[in-house]
Amino acid sequence: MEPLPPLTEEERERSRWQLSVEGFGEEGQRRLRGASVLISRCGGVGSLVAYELAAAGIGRLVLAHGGNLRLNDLNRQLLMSHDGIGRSRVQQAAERLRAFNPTLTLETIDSNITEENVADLVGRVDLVVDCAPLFKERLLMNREAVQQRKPLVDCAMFELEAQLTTILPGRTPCLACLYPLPPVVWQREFPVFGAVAGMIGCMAAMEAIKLLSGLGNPLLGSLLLCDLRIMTFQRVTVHRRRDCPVCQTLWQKEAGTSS
Amino acid sequence: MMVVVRYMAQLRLAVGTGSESVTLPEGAVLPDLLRQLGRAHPGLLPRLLFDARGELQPSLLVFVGDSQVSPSEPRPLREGEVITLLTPIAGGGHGAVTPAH
Ligand SMILES: [Zn+2]
Repeated sequence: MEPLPPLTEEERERSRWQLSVEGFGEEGQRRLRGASVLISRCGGVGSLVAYELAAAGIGRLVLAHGGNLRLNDLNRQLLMSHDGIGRSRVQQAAERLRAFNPTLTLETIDSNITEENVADLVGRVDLVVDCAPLFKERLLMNREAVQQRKPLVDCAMFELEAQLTTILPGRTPCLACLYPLPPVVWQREFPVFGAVAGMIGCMAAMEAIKLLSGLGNPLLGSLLLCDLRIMTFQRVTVHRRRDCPVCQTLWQKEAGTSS
Repeated sequence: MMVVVRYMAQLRLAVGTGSESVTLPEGAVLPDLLRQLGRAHPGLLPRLLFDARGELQPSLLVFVGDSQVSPSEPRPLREGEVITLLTPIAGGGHGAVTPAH
Protein backbone atom coordinates (compact mmCIF):
# COMPACT_ATOMS: atom_id res chain seq x y z
CA MET A 1 0.00 0.00 0.00
CA GLU A 2 1.27 3.46 -0.85
CA PRO A 3 1.08 5.99 1.99
CA LEU A 4 -1.98 8.23 1.85
CA PRO A 5 -1.28 11.62 0.30
CA PRO A 6 -1.59 14.63 2.62
CA LEU A 7 -4.29 17.20 1.86
CA THR A 8 -3.31 20.70 0.80
CA GLU A 9 -5.08 23.63 2.48
CA GLU A 10 -7.07 24.13 -0.71
CA GLU A 11 -8.15 20.49 -0.81
CA ARG A 12 -9.15 20.62 2.82
CA GLU A 13 -11.27 23.71 2.21
CA ARG A 14 -12.81 22.25 -0.98
CA SER A 15 -13.93 19.14 0.89
CA ARG A 16 -14.81 20.95 4.12
CA TRP A 17 -18.52 20.07 4.09
CA GLN A 18 -17.85 16.36 3.84
CA LEU A 19 -14.92 16.09 6.27
CA SER A 20 -17.39 16.10 9.16
CA VAL A 21 -19.26 13.05 7.81
CA GLU A 22 -19.12 10.39 10.50
CA GLY A 23 -16.84 7.52 9.55
CA PHE A 24 -15.21 9.53 6.75
CA GLY A 25 -13.17 12.51 8.01
CA GLU A 26 -9.72 13.57 6.91
CA GLU A 27 -8.52 9.99 6.52
CA GLY A 28 -11.43 9.16 4.21
CA GLN A 29 -10.66 12.25 2.16
CA ARG A 30 -7.00 11.28 1.88
CA ARG A 31 -8.00 7.80 0.74
CA LEU A 32 -10.12 9.33 -2.03
CA ARG A 33 -7.29 11.68 -2.95
CA GLY A 34 -4.99 8.69 -3.35
CA ALA A 35 -7.48 6.62 -5.36
CA SER A 36 -8.21 6.13 -9.06
CA VAL A 37 -11.39 5.06 -10.85
CA LEU A 38 -12.09 3.90 -14.40
CA ILE A 39 -15.50 4.94 -15.75
CA SER A 40 -16.63 2.97 -18.76
CA ARG A 41 -18.72 5.44 -20.80
CA CYS A 42 -19.49 8.90 -19.52
CA GLY A 43 -22.93 9.17 -21.06
CA GLY A 44 -26.16 9.54 -19.11
CA VAL A 45 -25.02 7.47 -16.14
CA GLY A 46 -21.24 7.85 -16.31
CA SER A 47 -21.39 11.66 -16.61
CA LEU A 48 -22.84 11.81 -13.13
CA VAL A 49 -20.47 9.21 -11.74
CA ALA A 50 -17.55 11.31 -12.97
CA TYR A 51 -19.09 14.59 -11.80
CA GLU A 52 -19.73 13.31 -8.28
CA LEU A 53 -16.33 11.67 -7.95
CA ALA A 54 -14.68 14.89 -9.12
CA ALA A 55 -16.74 16.79 -6.56
CA ALA A 56 -15.81 14.32 -3.83
CA GLY A 57 -12.10 14.86 -4.49
CA ILE A 58 -11.04 11.61 -6.14
CA GLY A 59 -7.38 11.71 -7.15
CA ARG A 60 -7.53 10.34 -10.68
CA LEU A 61 -10.24 9.43 -13.18
CA VAL A 62 -9.82 7.38 -16.32
CA LEU A 63 -12.70 8.03 -18.74
CA ALA A 64 -13.35 5.72 -21.68
CA HIS A 65 -16.02 6.76 -24.16
CA GLY A 66 -15.97 6.73 -27.95
CA GLY A 67 -17.67 8.93 -30.49
CA ASN A 68 -18.84 12.47 -31.01
CA LEU A 69 -21.75 14.22 -29.34
CA ARG A 70 -25.18 14.08 -31.00
CA LEU A 71 -28.16 16.30 -30.30
CA ASN A 72 -30.15 13.35 -28.95
CA ASP A 73 -27.50 12.71 -26.26
CA LEU A 74 -28.41 15.96 -24.55
CA ASN A 75 -31.42 14.72 -22.61
CA ARG A 76 -28.98 13.01 -20.24
CA GLN A 77 -25.26 13.59 -20.86
CA LEU A 78 -24.69 16.42 -18.40
CA LEU A 79 -20.95 16.90 -18.94
CA MET A 80 -21.55 17.92 -22.57
CA SER A 81 -22.76 21.19 -24.03
CA HIS A 82 -24.97 22.16 -26.93
CA ASP A 83 -22.08 23.92 -28.66
CA GLY A 84 -20.18 20.64 -28.58
CA ILE A 85 -22.43 18.73 -30.98
CA GLY A 86 -20.19 16.89 -33.41
CA ARG A 87 -17.16 17.04 -31.08
CA SER A 88 -15.60 14.24 -29.02
CA ARG A 89 -17.73 13.30 -26.03
CA VAL A 90 -14.85 12.27 -23.81
CA GLN A 91 -12.90 15.47 -24.50
CA GLN A 92 -15.91 17.58 -23.56
CA ALA A 93 -16.40 15.57 -20.40
CA ALA A 94 -12.76 16.16 -19.49
CA GLU A 95 -13.01 19.91 -20.17
CA ARG A 96 -16.02 20.25 -17.91
CA LEU A 97 -14.42 18.21 -15.13
CA ARG A 98 -11.15 20.19 -15.31
CA ALA A 99 -13.03 23.46 -15.06
CA PHE A 100 -14.98 22.07 -12.12
CA ASN A 101 -12.04 20.67 -10.18
CA PRO A 102 -8.55 21.50 -11.48
CA THR A 103 -6.88 19.32 -8.81
CA LEU A 104 -8.30 16.20 -10.48
CA THR A 105 -5.95 14.11 -12.64
CA LEU A 106 -7.72 12.96 -15.81
CA GLU A 107 -6.92 10.35 -18.43
CA THR A 108 -9.20 10.13 -21.44
CA ILE A 109 -9.61 7.35 -23.96
CA ASP A 110 -11.58 8.25 -27.05
CA SER A 111 -12.91 4.71 -27.37
CA ASN A 112 -15.27 2.36 -25.62
CA ILE A 113 -14.02 -0.75 -23.84
CA THR A 114 -12.71 -3.41 -26.21
CA GLU A 115 -10.93 -6.76 -25.97
CA GLU A 116 -7.74 -4.87 -26.90
CA ASN A 117 -7.83 -2.07 -24.31
CA VAL A 118 -9.70 -3.54 -21.34
CA ALA A 119 -6.76 -5.16 -19.51
CA ASP A 120 -4.65 -1.99 -19.74
CA LEU A 121 -7.49 0.28 -18.59
CA VAL A 122 -8.54 -1.88 -15.64
CA GLY A 123 -4.87 -2.22 -14.68
CA ARG A 124 -4.52 1.56 -14.31
CA VAL A 125 -7.06 1.99 -11.50
CA ASP A 126 -8.18 0.88 -8.04
CA LEU A 127 -11.86 0.51 -8.92
CA VAL A 128 -14.13 0.38 -11.97
CA VAL A 129 -17.60 1.85 -12.47
CA ASP A 130 -19.29 0.34 -15.50
CA CYS A 131 -22.02 2.37 -17.18
CA ALA A 132 -21.84 0.78 -20.63
CA PRO A 133 -25.14 0.28 -22.43
CA LEU A 134 -24.17 -2.94 -24.19
CA PHE A 135 -24.02 -6.32 -22.47
CA LYS A 136 -21.02 -7.34 -24.50
CA GLU A 137 -19.04 -4.48 -22.97
CA ARG A 138 -20.33 -5.08 -19.46
CA LEU A 139 -19.58 -8.79 -19.51
CA LEU A 140 -16.12 -8.06 -20.92
CA MET A 141 -15.46 -5.54 -18.13
CA ASN A 142 -16.71 -8.03 -15.56
CA ARG A 143 -14.36 -10.70 -16.87
CA GLU A 144 -11.38 -8.37 -16.66
CA ALA A 145 -12.28 -6.97 -13.21
CA VAL A 146 -12.57 -10.53 -11.89
CA GLN A 147 -9.29 -11.45 -13.56
CA GLN A 148 -7.49 -8.51 -11.93
CA ARG A 149 -9.56 -8.74 -8.74
CA LYS A 150 -10.64 -5.12 -8.95
CA PRO A 151 -13.88 -3.92 -7.33
CA LEU A 152 -16.57 -3.25 -9.92
CA VAL A 153 -19.64 -1.08 -9.43
CA ASP A 154 -22.14 -2.03 -12.11
CA CYS A 155 -25.04 0.27 -12.87
CA ALA A 156 -27.78 -0.01 -15.42
CA MET A 157 -31.01 1.64 -16.37
CA PHE A 158 -34.03 1.11 -18.54
CA GLU A 159 -36.81 3.65 -18.94
CA LEU A 160 -37.79 4.67 -15.38
CA GLU A 161 -35.99 1.72 -13.78
CA ALA A 162 -32.43 1.38 -12.61
CA GLN A 163 -30.24 -1.30 -11.00
CA LEU A 164 -27.03 -1.19 -9.05
CA THR A 165 -24.70 -3.78 -7.57
CA THR A 166 -21.14 -3.84 -6.28
CA ILE A 167 -18.88 -6.74 -7.15
CA LEU A 168 -15.84 -7.78 -5.15
CA PRO A 169 -14.29 -10.65 -7.10
CA GLY A 170 -14.10 -13.78 -4.98
CA ARG A 171 -16.35 -12.30 -2.29
CA THR A 172 -19.60 -11.55 -4.11
CA PRO A 173 -21.36 -12.94 -7.19
CA CYS A 174 -19.98 -11.44 -10.40
CA LEU A 175 -22.03 -10.03 -13.28
CA ALA A 176 -21.84 -13.33 -15.16
CA CYS A 177 -23.27 -15.10 -12.10
CA LEU A 178 -26.33 -12.87 -12.53
CA TYR A 179 -26.42 -12.81 -16.32
CA PRO A 180 -24.51 -15.69 -17.91
CA LEU A 181 -25.81 -14.64 -21.34
CA PRO A 182 -27.00 -11.35 -22.76
CA PRO A 183 -30.78 -11.07 -22.52
CA VAL A 184 -33.21 -11.64 -25.32
CA VAL A 185 -33.79 -8.19 -26.74
CA TRP A 186 -36.79 -7.31 -28.81
CA GLN A 187 -36.45 -3.56 -28.86
CA ARG A 188 -34.13 -1.76 -31.21
CA GLU A 189 -33.58 1.11 -28.77
CA PHE A 190 -34.12 1.43 -25.11
CA PRO A 191 -35.77 4.41 -23.52
CA VAL A 192 -33.62 6.62 -21.28
CA PHE A 193 -34.75 9.39 -18.98
CA GLY A 194 -31.93 11.71 -17.93
CA ALA A 195 -32.99 12.07 -14.32
CA VAL A 196 -33.11 8.28 -13.90
CA ALA A 197 -29.64 7.89 -15.43
CA GLY A 198 -28.34 10.68 -13.21
CA MET A 199 -29.84 9.18 -10.07
CA ILE A 200 -28.25 5.79 -10.56
CA GLY A 201 -24.96 7.47 -11.54
CA CYS A 202 -24.94 9.40 -8.24
CA MET A 203 -25.66 6.18 -6.34
CA ALA A 204 -22.83 4.41 -8.16
CA ALA A 205 -20.48 7.27 -7.26
CA MET A 206 -21.50 6.85 -3.63
CA GLU A 207 -20.72 3.14 -3.81
CA ALA A 208 -17.26 3.95 -5.18
CA ILE A 209 -16.67 6.57 -2.47
CA LYS A 210 -17.72 4.08 0.22
CA LEU A 211 -15.50 1.28 -1.06
CA LEU A 212 -12.47 3.52 -1.50
CA SER A 213 -12.78 5.34 1.81
CA GLY A 214 -14.11 2.50 3.97
CA LEU A 215 -17.40 4.26 4.69
CA GLY A 216 -20.73 2.50 5.35
CA ASN A 217 -21.94 -0.74 3.77
CA PRO A 218 -21.68 -1.21 0.01
CA LEU A 219 -24.17 -3.28 -1.99
CA LEU A 220 -22.18 -6.50 -1.72
CA GLY A 221 -24.11 -9.59 -2.82
CA SER A 222 -27.14 -7.37 -3.28
CA LEU A 223 -28.87 -5.78 -6.20
CA LEU A 224 -30.74 -2.52 -5.72
CA LEU A 225 -33.86 -2.36 -7.90
CA CYS A 226 -35.24 1.15 -8.36
CA ASP A 227 -38.56 1.81 -10.05
CA LEU A 228 -39.06 5.55 -10.30
CA ARG A 229 -42.44 5.14 -12.01
CA ILE A 230 -43.89 4.11 -8.65
CA MET A 231 -40.94 5.25 -6.46
CA THR A 232 -40.01 1.87 -5.02
CA PHE A 233 -36.48 0.90 -4.00
CA GLN A 234 -35.92 -2.77 -3.22
CA ARG A 235 -32.65 -4.37 -2.14
CA VAL A 236 -32.58 -8.05 -3.08
CA THR A 237 -29.92 -10.65 -2.35
CA VAL A 238 -28.23 -12.36 -5.28
CA HIS A 239 -26.31 -15.62 -5.41
CA ARG A 240 -23.24 -16.80 -7.23
CA ARG A 241 -23.46 -19.57 -9.81
CA ARG A 242 -21.31 -22.51 -8.84
CA ASP A 243 -20.68 -23.12 -12.53
CA CYS A 244 -19.98 -19.45 -13.36
CA PRO A 245 -17.48 -19.51 -16.24
CA VAL A 246 -15.93 -16.22 -15.07
CA CYS A 247 -15.48 -16.43 -11.31
CA GLN A 248 -15.75 -20.08 -10.24
CA THR A 249 -11.97 -20.59 -10.19
CA LEU A 250 -11.62 -17.62 -7.81
CA TRP A 251 -14.04 -19.25 -5.41
CA GLN A 252 -12.14 -22.51 -5.57
CA LYS A 253 -8.91 -20.62 -4.80
CA GLU A 254 -10.54 -18.77 -1.88
CA ALA A 255 -11.94 -22.01 -0.51
CA GLY A 256 -8.51 -23.60 -0.86
CA THR A 257 -6.68 -20.83 0.99
CA SER A 258 -9.17 -20.49 3.82
CA SER A 259 -9.30 -24.19 4.69
CA MET B 1 -54.01 -19.23 -3.66
CA MET B 2 -53.05 -15.72 -4.72
CA VAL B 3 -49.56 -14.34 -5.30
CA VAL B 4 -48.37 -10.98 -6.62
CA VAL B 5 -46.07 -10.88 -9.66
CA ARG B 6 -43.92 -7.80 -10.30
CA TYR B 7 -42.56 -7.29 -13.81
CA MET B 8 -39.40 -5.24 -14.30
CA ALA B 9 -37.85 -3.63 -17.39
CA GLN B 10 -38.66 -5.34 -20.69
CA LEU B 11 -41.05 -7.73 -18.97
CA ARG B 12 -43.19 -4.81 -17.80
CA LEU B 13 -43.38 -3.46 -21.33
CA ALA B 14 -44.24 -6.91 -22.69
CA VAL B 15 -47.06 -7.43 -20.20
CA GLY B 16 -48.23 -3.83 -20.11
CA THR B 17 -48.36 -3.59 -16.33
CA GLY B 18 -45.86 -3.39 -13.47
CA SER B 19 -47.59 -5.95 -11.29
CA GLU B 20 -50.63 -8.18 -11.09
CA SER B 21 -52.26 -10.65 -8.74
CA VAL B 22 -52.27 -14.23 -9.99
CA THR B 23 -54.41 -17.10 -8.76
CA LEU B 24 -52.62 -20.45 -8.59
CA PRO B 25 -53.65 -23.94 -7.56
CA GLU B 26 -52.49 -24.93 -4.05
CA GLY B 27 -49.01 -26.45 -4.10
CA ALA B 28 -48.00 -24.67 -7.33
CA VAL B 29 -44.26 -24.08 -7.73
CA LEU B 30 -42.37 -21.36 -9.62
CA PRO B 31 -42.15 -23.23 -12.95
CA ASP B 32 -45.96 -23.66 -12.82
CA LEU B 33 -46.36 -19.93 -12.28
CA LEU B 34 -44.01 -19.03 -15.15
CA ARG B 35 -45.81 -21.37 -17.56
CA GLN B 36 -49.18 -19.96 -16.49
CA LEU B 37 -47.91 -16.39 -17.08
CA GLY B 38 -46.66 -17.37 -20.53
CA ARG B 39 -50.12 -18.67 -21.43
CA ALA B 40 -51.88 -15.62 -19.95
CA HIS B 41 -49.70 -13.17 -21.90
CA PRO B 42 -49.09 -14.66 -25.34
CA GLY B 43 -46.82 -12.70 -27.66
CA LEU B 44 -43.63 -11.22 -26.27
CA LEU B 45 -43.66 -12.53 -22.71
CA PRO B 46 -43.15 -16.23 -23.52
CA ARG B 47 -40.09 -15.29 -25.62
CA LEU B 48 -38.60 -13.40 -22.69
CA LEU B 49 -39.27 -16.27 -20.27
CA PHE B 50 -38.47 -19.33 -22.41
CA ASP B 51 -36.02 -20.17 -25.16
CA ALA B 52 -36.90 -21.91 -28.44
CA ARG B 53 -36.77 -25.33 -26.74
CA GLY B 54 -39.13 -24.24 -23.98
CA GLU B 55 -36.36 -24.04 -21.36
CA LEU B 56 -36.25 -21.03 -19.02
CA GLN B 57 -34.04 -18.20 -20.27
CA PRO B 58 -30.72 -18.40 -18.40
CA SER B 59 -30.58 -14.66 -17.72
CA LEU B 60 -34.06 -14.43 -16.18
CA LEU B 61 -33.75 -13.38 -12.53
CA VAL B 62 -36.47 -14.36 -10.08
CA PHE B 63 -36.91 -13.09 -6.55
CA VAL B 64 -39.39 -14.27 -3.94
CA GLY B 65 -39.68 -11.38 -1.51
CA ASP B 66 -36.15 -9.99 -1.26
CA SER B 67 -34.28 -13.22 -2.06
CA GLN B 68 -33.09 -14.58 -5.37
CA VAL B 69 -34.36 -18.06 -6.18
CA SER B 70 -33.70 -20.43 -9.04
CA PRO B 71 -36.50 -20.17 -11.63
CA SER B 72 -36.77 -23.96 -11.44
CA GLU B 73 -37.17 -23.82 -7.64
CA PRO B 74 -39.46 -26.69 -6.61
CA ARG B 75 -40.62 -25.11 -3.32
CA PRO B 76 -44.39 -24.52 -3.32
CA LEU B 77 -45.34 -20.85 -3.44
CA ARG B 78 -47.30 -19.41 -0.54
CA GLU B 79 -50.34 -17.19 -0.35
CA GLY B 80 -49.43 -13.51 -0.64
CA GLU B 81 -45.83 -13.96 -1.72
CA VAL B 82 -44.42 -11.31 -4.05
CA ILE B 83 -42.50 -12.73 -7.01
CA THR B 84 -40.32 -10.26 -8.92
CA LEU B 85 -39.29 -11.16 -12.47
CA LEU B 86 -36.36 -9.33 -13.98
CA THR B 87 -34.58 -9.37 -17.28
CA PRO B 88 -31.15 -7.74 -17.30
CA ILE B 89 -30.90 -4.09 -18.27
CA ALA B 90 -27.81 -2.22 -19.38
CA GLY B 91 -26.41 1.27 -18.95
CA GLY B 92 -27.51 4.71 -20.03
CA GLY B 93 -24.72 5.58 -22.40
CA HIS B 94 -25.19 7.01 -25.85
CA GLY B 95 -28.12 5.93 -28.02
CA ALA B 96 -27.86 2.20 -27.46
CA VAL B 97 -29.12 0.32 -30.45
CA THR B 98 -29.27 -3.35 -29.69
CA PRO B 99 -30.13 -5.69 -32.52
CA ALA B 100 -33.22 -7.77 -31.91
CA HIS B 101 -32.47 -11.49 -31.78
ZN1 LIG C 1 -19.46 -15.26 -11.45
